[in-house]
Amino acid sequence: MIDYACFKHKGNAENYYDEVFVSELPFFTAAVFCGKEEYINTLSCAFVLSEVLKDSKEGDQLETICAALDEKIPEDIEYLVLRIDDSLKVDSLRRGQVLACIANNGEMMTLPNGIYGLKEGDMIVCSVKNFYSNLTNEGMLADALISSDCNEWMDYMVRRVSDKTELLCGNLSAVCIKV
Amino acid sequence: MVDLSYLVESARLWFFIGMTVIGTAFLVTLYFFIMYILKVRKIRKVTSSGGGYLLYCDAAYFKGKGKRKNQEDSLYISPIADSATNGTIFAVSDGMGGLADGQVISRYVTERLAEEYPYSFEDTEANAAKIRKISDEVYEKYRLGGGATLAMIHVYANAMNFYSLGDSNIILVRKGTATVLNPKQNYISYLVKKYASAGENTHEAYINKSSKGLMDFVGNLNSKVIRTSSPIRLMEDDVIIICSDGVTDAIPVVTVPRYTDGAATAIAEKLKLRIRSAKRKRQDNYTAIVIKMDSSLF
Repeated sequence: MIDYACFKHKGNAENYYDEVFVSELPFFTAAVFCGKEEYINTLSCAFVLSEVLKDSKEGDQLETICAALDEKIPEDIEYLVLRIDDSLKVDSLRRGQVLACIANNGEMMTLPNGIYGLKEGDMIVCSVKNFYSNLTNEGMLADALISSDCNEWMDYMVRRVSDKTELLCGNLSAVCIKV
Repeated sequence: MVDLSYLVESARLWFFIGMTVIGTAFLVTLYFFIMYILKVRKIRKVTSSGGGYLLYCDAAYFKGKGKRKNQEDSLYISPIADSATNGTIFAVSDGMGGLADGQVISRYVTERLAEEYPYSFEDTEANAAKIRKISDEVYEKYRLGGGATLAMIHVYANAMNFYSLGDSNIILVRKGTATVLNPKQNYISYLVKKYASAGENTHEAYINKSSKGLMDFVGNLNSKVIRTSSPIRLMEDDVIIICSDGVTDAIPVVTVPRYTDGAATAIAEKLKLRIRSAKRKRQDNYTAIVIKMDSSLF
């Protein structure tokens, strides 16, 4: 069972250009796309990813899925896709400055590209630069450790970003995941 | 001839029931034993140091009345001699201004914390329950007519749990960056959530005059004690400052790292001097405990 919460806010931008994608079947897959104004009338990256996932085979590596995704979305879209399988392994792939951090053994660390073993209770946050640049690792970790679920964790982090920026800092997008 | 078959059958039945009860009790005990071992191992993994040495706490504190008539802050530090077995508790309580008996209540809170010592490092919910009980006791006496905040940390080996009620601060300074670890339980949190979920900016949340009002504090009934469910790993040269809002009103949190060079006593001196030199007209009571994590006594 994976608990998750999403946050999407246009900030002080005219529109919300980022995209957040979450799918629970067949494996838990989450993606955050850092959008751009010039692509507002193009095909949604989240939709493209869902189509790519539909067309993929069960044994396909995340790298293969992302290669298919890269062919269909603009080159300069930054994103992070992660997939958690039944054996609690997370496979993630990052393009650009969208970042995932994991609360692990009393520390907050950046989730590396590739496969990483998880254990029950591990918490991950994926977010765009506008979001995580207004947070510290220690703040994210403290918020994770005092939260009973992902919604609470997200609320605490949004409060931190708000204390610093009043949410006037461009599009804000994040996904919190608790394994 | 007496027919003993009934007795034999009955004995067999009781033997079966007895064995089932013993077997179930054994399995339940085994389950809890395994869960305990797993939990202790998890805690030990965080509390053990990567470099093979333990950090120690270099601590100092300071307090001042500011422009107030009374000192309504109070602090508690558990016996340092017991730190190897029970860890060390550092706590600051700040009597709520404008309400009755702030001085009495904050002192009551720290005295009750001392009475409840020692605290388990593993079972943070049990510790939160102790704090909740203290809060309920204050509620019984003052019925929301008085209260206090509480910021408390429990340092054990190279790790820390924290507990908080109200808006006092637990600041961690690491690598030149200061982070307030505990969220403030004031009305701003509610407003930020409201505006953010509506897709608006949160400027209004901060200009609202009553937004700094506390939604939870010691003295509230069945208060929600903020607590870490598992510990934060501490590093060498980390500085932890537990303080009342009189300190952060005078020294913005982002500037705190400027004063964190040297030993804990030196840091405390610098912070106190900074507050005094600010000469704020409405300086509140200020109290802080400064803890520096160090690997060597010399």
